[in-house]
Amino acid sequence: MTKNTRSLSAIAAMLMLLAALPAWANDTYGPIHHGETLWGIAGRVYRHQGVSRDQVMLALLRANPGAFAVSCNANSPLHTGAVLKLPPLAEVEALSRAEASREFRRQEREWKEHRRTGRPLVCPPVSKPAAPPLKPAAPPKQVPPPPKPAAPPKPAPPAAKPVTPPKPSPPAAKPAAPPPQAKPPAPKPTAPPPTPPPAPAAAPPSKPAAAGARAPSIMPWWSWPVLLFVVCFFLGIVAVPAGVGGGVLFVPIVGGFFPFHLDFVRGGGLMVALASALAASPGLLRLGLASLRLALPLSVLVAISQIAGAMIGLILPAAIAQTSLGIIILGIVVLMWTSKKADVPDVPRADPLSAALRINGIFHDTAHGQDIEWKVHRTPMALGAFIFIGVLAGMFGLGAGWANVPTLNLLMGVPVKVASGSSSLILSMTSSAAWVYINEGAVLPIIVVPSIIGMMLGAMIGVRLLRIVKASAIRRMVIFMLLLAGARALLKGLGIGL
Amino acid sequence: MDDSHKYTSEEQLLYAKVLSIGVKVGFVLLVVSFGLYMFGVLKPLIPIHQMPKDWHLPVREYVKVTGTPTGWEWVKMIAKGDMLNLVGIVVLAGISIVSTLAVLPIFARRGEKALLIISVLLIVVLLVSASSILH
Repeated sequence: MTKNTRSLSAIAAMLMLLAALPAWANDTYGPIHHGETLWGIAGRVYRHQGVSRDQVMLALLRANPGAFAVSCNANSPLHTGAVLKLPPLAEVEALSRAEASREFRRQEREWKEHRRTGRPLVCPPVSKPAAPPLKPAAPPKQVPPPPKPAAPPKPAPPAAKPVTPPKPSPPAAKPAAPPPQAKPPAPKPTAPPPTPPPAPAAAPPSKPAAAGARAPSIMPWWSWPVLLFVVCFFLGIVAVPAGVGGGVLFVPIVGGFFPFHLDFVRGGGLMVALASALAASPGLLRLGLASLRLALPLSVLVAISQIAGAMIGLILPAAIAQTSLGIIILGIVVLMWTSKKADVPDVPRADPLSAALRINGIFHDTAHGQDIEWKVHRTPMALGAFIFIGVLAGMFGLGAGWANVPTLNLLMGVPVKVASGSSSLILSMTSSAAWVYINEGAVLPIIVVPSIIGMMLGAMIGVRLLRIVKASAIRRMVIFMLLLAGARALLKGLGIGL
Repeated sequence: MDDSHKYTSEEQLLYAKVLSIGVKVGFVLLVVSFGLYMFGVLKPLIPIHQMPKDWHLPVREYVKVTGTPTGWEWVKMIAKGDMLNLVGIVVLAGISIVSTLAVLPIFARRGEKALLIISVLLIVVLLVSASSILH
């Protein structure tokens, strides 16, 4: 177990290191990752340089109109894969704080109106067409801020300094909305002409934090819940024999291959893990294969640390979240591949804490046809491990069976069957992270409900499958699936090849 | 002879009983409300065909763009198809609070103070996370 704890600590250290790595270099930023927002980017570049976020966002829009779904509105989504040019500070300052704030609010109103009415946003034509999304547009020759009547624009800022040519952009990035050429007529009364480039007919949403968004799907809406149901049904089938919870498969696979933002995938993952655990727990408790006395103290710590994890997860920039998720999943692959199990570990003496709480029990082992008594040791150490597990589970919506079982079994000495059952019980008792996601609006019924139903039905088949196929073969298959999903999340987070 | 008490305890059986009822209720609510939502019986707050335009956004942007309620505000819109689904979700997320509440009297009667305090603490943590105070 020390080995397992060490590998988890290493993963945490790598996470922290990754979090410190900036995504920008020289005069460019990018490529933009799925889910990355202009708001987030603006908070990271030009820090401590005395300029406001509104100033930075508008300067980025002016310098990179082609990177936006609507080239004259900073609220429109960024194209995934685009590389942004970072204009010189002088250009950022060209618009005063007050002017930038007014202009941003104007664009925000315009965007809201567009969203509400569905009327296309029309950007005034430019002499030079915007570059395609993946290659940031040619330096926009000054885009004087579209002034409001009350705020006349400043004189055009100096020409953009030559910037580092954009890195070769990754191929992917389907533009969030095909940018049809600008239809010149009738700019909105509030948006006088002076600005550049073209406008798409209908752009996906956004708001202050303009999204670095994935292209809206061309598939009909109903195909997604159906697909989710089918995928989760199969995940449910393999999860039981592989001995993993639904969440650990759901998050990397749905996060990697479906068009939902990772926030919703994590919310879904937590609910799927919770629902699976809830369905299993009553039966396990009645059979004595889960222990309430064991689960209660651990659940308190897990519940608290899950809240912290969920809150961190929700503020984590998408790219870092994806990268970290990839690393964690690959760590889980290693853990699953290498960890051993002890059917009934030898516990010479219960530790004082577990003895005081009377954490012990008896269960009937049908395989050996006998009753087995158990007790636990190293409880204080396990409490520490569960704090760490809770943070990770809340942060990535993974559930925590993958870590609970080895901790209970190898560290505390709980027989493997009781460890699996009690892990399920702990998952069902610790809905705190799920609550955080529900309250944030990150639990979307259209994602969560078909997933839960699919996973539950699949699990029923999985239980039958367990009798006829070798669990070890399915376990290997799941490890392989996780390996692929983890690698994909990692590459996606790093913006490589996707 | 009933072996259940040999392998479990009174509080464990009670916990399982309450949990089992809650889970069944939650699942039924989830399936029924989802049917009403999907088949358009109840009009949703966010038009269902619009969802693919927005679900790629980070949640905080999604909420702003679509006007999705946060915290417990959805209760006021419970007649909307999508919001109604949250009833089943909330039942599933909250049933462990009820189950833990149910076993408190047993711990109290037996004078098991440590487990009583731990259970109360767990309920408090879950209630705080559910209350949207942290939102």
